[in-house]
Amino acid sequence: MQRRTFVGVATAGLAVVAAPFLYHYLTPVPIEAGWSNPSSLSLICEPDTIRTLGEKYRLLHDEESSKRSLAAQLSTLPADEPGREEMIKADFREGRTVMVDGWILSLTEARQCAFASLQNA
Amino acid sequence: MHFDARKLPNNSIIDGDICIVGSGAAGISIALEWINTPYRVILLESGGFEYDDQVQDLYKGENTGQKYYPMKSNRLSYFGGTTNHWAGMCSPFDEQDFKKRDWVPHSGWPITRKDMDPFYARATKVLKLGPYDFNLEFWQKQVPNLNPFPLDDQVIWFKMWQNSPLSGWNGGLAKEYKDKILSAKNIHLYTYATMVDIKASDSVSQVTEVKVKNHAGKEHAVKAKQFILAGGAIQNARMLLAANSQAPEGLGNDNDVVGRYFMEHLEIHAAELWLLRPFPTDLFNWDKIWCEIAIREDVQARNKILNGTAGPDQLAYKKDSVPRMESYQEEDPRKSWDNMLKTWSVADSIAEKRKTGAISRAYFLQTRLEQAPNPDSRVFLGQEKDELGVPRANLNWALTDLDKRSVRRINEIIGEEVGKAGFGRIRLIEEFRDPNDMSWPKGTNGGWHHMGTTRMSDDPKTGVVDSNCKVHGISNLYVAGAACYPTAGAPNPTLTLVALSLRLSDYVKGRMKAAV
Repeated sequence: MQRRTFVGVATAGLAVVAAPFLYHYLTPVPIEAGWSNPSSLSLICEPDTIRTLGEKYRLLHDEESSKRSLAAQLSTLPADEPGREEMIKADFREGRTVMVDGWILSLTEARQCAFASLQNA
Repeated sequence: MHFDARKLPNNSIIDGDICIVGSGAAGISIALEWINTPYRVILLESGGFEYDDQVQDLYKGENTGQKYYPMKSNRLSYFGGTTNHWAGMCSPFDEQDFKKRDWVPHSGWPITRKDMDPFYARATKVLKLGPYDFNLEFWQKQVPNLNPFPLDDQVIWFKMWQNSPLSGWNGGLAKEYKDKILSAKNIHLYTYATMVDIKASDSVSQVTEVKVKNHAGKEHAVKAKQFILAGGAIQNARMLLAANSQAPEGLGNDNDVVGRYFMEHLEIHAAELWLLRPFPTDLFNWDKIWCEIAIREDVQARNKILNGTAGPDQLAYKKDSVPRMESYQEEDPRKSWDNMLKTWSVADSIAEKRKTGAISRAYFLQTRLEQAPNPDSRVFLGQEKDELGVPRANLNWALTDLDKRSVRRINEIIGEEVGKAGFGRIRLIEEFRDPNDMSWPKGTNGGWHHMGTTRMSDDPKTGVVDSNCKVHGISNLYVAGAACYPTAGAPNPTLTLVALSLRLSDYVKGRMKAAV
């Protein structure tokens, strides 16, 4: 194979392999408004505190430290607030809780805090 | 009738049928039961009717374990005893407090809550409480606005308390019962009569007399048919251990149990409860009634934790309060008391500036926990002697991992429940966040509740007294009060110790009648 042909084939192959990854990482993360708004927690914590909790959650859960990974986790969050609150209660009911900075939080709302902490990052 | 033992001729012989050593909650409760009976009751009090620092100094000793209140100031030594500082809080132990629990080493009483119920009912009268009913539903009919938090009743329940009007602020049991006792012809109260030794028969199977002394240099002997130690858990153990002229390890101590299993109630601000929205209730309003958040028995069993409750106090007011274990460290109990009250005032004034916003809906949860029975937690004799020649009592207060894990888990359970109900969120204080951290925060308070040093068991190898509070192996020596508790329950000890004292009193009466 001529050098020029090899380079062409290799480039095309690389493009085929890389395309899904590039698409994944270059496509903007779809954001739902509720993802960064733990509404119950907002009644007792200031926005700064929520972002701090989110940062601490991300430090504890390295695999959920990006917007994209958090978006994947939050993709099933209902669009309406009552639905989201019900999901959070279900977390508590079914033992999906996490302690962040001493707060006993539902996993969903902890991820909301984490998402909020990345919003202005 | 009252006698000042300092004014008696030296080496007097004081004769009676029953000798009660100590005039605190236990001693007074028993003495009242014997008024107008054909028996002469000798009631011995180490101090007088007012605080006397020279007498109080007899309590001095060392703390060698977990930080604790100074030995001199953690009890009071005058008529009325420590009820002179009593907060008046009363609630009975729960059924499970009397049971053997596999996950709580050394747990289990030889009697049940059902055995105690009639005496609890009588004790409520002695302490001038309302009816013997501690159910929320009953009190909701008496007091408006007692709304419980909307939590799952399969997990959480609300433990009611009643506040006795005979608290220390109101003069304790002393003020209420002094005249009654002094006017009773068959009750002979001797003040300034500090017991310094217990003498037994040659076979050490029967007490023959106790020796009393005072700072006036007088020494007397008290002879009686039955002797009841009612000096509190530290002093009772001290005196049994110090009575070692005939039994080298002390009276009732053939199995090295006397002084061991000292227990306190852990009272720790371990978590904050933040409500999402205002929730009007007077259930946690000290001025009206008191209630604490409790964990169901089966939930405790599943989680293998101790019995404990959480009492909500407004966070704004408690956030800056100095832990009692820090503010109550003066040897002089009057100074310690003043210091503690001052820190409360400072915290209150700070709170006035910050009680708006979400914090107005936030509570500090004080976990009130039974301490796990622990043989290494103990009262023992020191090398030094007090002014009357009795070895001083030292205390090694020792907590266990089960205690720490229980405080943490109780608050986690409450956190899960308030979240489940969509009612609020819990935040644990830093020292309770790491499940592997078994150290204790500086706010690890005790309630000045001394229990367990002469624990009750049917087996002399595991207890000092039997189920009737009689010392094993000694036919006429009894211990009254919280020293007899095998486990500590979560509530303050006074109601239970008065009930147990009334039960003991009935038993001794029965024996006296049978002997006639």
